[in-house]
Amino acid sequence: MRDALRVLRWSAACGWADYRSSYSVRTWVGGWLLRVFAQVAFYAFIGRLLDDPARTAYMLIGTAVWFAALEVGFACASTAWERRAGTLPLLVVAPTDLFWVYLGRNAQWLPSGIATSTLSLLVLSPAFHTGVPPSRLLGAIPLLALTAVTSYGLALTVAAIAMRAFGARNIASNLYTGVLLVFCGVQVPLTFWPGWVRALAQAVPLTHGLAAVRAQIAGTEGLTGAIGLAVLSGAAWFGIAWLIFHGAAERGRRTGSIEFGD
Amino acid sequence: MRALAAAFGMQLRSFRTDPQRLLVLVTMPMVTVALLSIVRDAARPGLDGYAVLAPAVMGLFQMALNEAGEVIDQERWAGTLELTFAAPTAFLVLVAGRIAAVILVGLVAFAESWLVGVLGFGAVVRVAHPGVFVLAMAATVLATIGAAAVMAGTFVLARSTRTYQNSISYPIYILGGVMVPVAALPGWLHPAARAVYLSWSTDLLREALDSGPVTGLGPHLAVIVGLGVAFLAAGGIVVSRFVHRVRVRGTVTHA
Repeated sequence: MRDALRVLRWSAACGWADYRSSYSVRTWVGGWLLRVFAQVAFYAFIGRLLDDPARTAYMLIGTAVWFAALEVGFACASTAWERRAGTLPLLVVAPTDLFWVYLGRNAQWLPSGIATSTLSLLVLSPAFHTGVPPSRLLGAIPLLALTAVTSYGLALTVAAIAMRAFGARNIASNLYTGVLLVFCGVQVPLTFWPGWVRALAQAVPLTHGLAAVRAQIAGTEGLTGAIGLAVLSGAAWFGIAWLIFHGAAERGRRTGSIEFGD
Repeated sequence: MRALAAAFGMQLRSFRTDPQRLLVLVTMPMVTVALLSIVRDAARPGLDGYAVLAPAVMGLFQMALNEAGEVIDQERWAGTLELTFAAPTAFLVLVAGRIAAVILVGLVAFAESWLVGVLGFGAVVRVAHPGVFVLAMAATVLATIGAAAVMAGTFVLARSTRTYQNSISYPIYILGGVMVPVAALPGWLHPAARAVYLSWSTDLLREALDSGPVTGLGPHLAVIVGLGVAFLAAGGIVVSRFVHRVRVRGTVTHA
């Protein structure tokens, strides 16, 4: 376990260094955060077009929380970078579990996702006059972190699958985040969709994390249950991600084919 | 003209070698589903046309931003930029041919969005004024080619601007009124919105879908074409400045 933690620490440091090479504070605020704000506002303005303040708030909160899951979803692309860099075979022959490497290697998206999601809620909710008290918004921050962390398990699973199809990494990443946007109660309640879609959405941590945030903000019941389901579904996806990474490494060692998966 | 056609064809063939460059055409149907679900859940089927048109326009602009904006840089990284400079054809012609191909492929987003509406939601969006729609589309394509030329030149001339390449899409979608017309945006956004050619395009395209009379066709078209021509001129200047600068400095390629 100590070895795993050491691998986790160094791979997280590596991921963070990658992140810092992509963004400075200026480009993060003036570039990425501006884009996030604009996308959240884009959907909030649709609520205004519909002349429905409740929908404006619903879509604003949903899109802001979705960004917590979207950013950890970038793990799909960043997992594939290892292969592009030619370091994947070295990781496969290393005497450690591939899962711990990737768990740390993509962890930079967690603080970023939590930060953008939090700032979107705190800044845009008053800007669009949603009427949510600041104390309720502040109380939602731990739930945004919960959403990001639990969504990370599913993102790693998708990343582990997409790792074998390097050429399709961006398509997989965008499809994944698109599905989350559409079917997890972000813009419209789950009840809008057919039963089988609602059933599948229950397996997605974002569905429950977002439900928890909405319950916290509205001060309604169901907060504890939503947290429990988010934790359960997130834990299950972390387990599945471990199985896939582990299996990929084992297969790669056995067949020597990990670099030729496309 | 032969060089223009060759550049056009080459760009089309390059899509076949790397399907990821058509990513926009994969993601935009998801946006159509999202927007149609919103208007249907709000029981506002009268806004189906808005929800189908918006992702199509977004797809067109995104292709300009992601792909057309990259054409010069792609030549540079492929190591072919110096060869195109040495060829007895104006570099601008080659860039124009490639950008035109990207933008025309971007038009596929219109068909995709319409099909998602029909197959997914039974939302058959009809064009009440086909002539107006065609004119508005032609003007929009011209302006988008111009905007793409400006972006392609700017991204290589001032490399720091590339950091913001992925950030300008949604601000433009808001100001361009792609889903929410400018008239429904707060007043303080109107001046900035009217500087974005898409705000004029989307107004006109939505009018073309509506069965009511079309108002202001001439002025709208004039503004879109005017902005498009201004973009084309600006794009030409920016690309020419880039060519001049890298030739003088001996930095044609850094691949």
